[in-house]
Amino acid sequence: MKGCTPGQVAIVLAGRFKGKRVVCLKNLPSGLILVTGPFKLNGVPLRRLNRAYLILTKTIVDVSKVDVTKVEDSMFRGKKLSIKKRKEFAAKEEPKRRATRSDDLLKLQKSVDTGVLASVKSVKRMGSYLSSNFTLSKNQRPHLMKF
Amino acid sequence: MAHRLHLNGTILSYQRGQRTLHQNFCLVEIDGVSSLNAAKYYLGKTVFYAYKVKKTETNKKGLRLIRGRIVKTHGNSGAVRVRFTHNLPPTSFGKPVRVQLYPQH
Repeated sequence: MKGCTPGQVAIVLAGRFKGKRVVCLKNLPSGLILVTGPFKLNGVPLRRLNRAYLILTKTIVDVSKVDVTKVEDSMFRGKKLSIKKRKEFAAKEEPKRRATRSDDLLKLQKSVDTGVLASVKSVKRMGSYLSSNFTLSKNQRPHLMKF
Repeated sequence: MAHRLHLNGTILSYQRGQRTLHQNFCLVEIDGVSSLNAAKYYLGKTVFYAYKVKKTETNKKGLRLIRGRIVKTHGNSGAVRVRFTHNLPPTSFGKPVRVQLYPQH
């Protein structure tokens, strides 16, 4: 499977963000693709996505000024809550919670997104394109579509 | 607003000769796919057959899914052969399936 070119817009096909159009940033060594919404446009944070569940389109956003060289797979491996905390939540009968994102990731999210948003704004209608969802309508045939 | 990311299809039958059934493969016709070349796009894609059961706490929609993969094309008119994780019951013939757009290569 080919990876993405940095800045390529992709359509997410499955998962929580299905239908969203996102900007691919990097191919990670694990084989996953690092992606960002940008968060303000469509609610997709810096995230790793599996290439099999993305349609890579030919639209490319200029991300040459965005620095993602330090991003690694290990930054995304979610830390499980300790058993003690999980029991606390269970005792309070609250819904299950995952550990929140690390501050490093949140900072990185901001810095990456400002760079991506700057190039998105320079292209006409790119912002509204990334905010919109992909959907198949009645007579659309994916085998005839050129992504 | 509902957004569709799948195609609809119909289960035609098991793969069969006139008198012999191969129940591990189903023949599926995908809406809008009516040629061999068109069907080649969908090779490897995931397919879901859904059937209804009683709604419970854990299954609030009352749906159970059987997942399959499009394995081969079938004939010249766009039908495909699908292998499901469990063989489908004959009551599924004529019923809809959802053909997903993943896995992409």
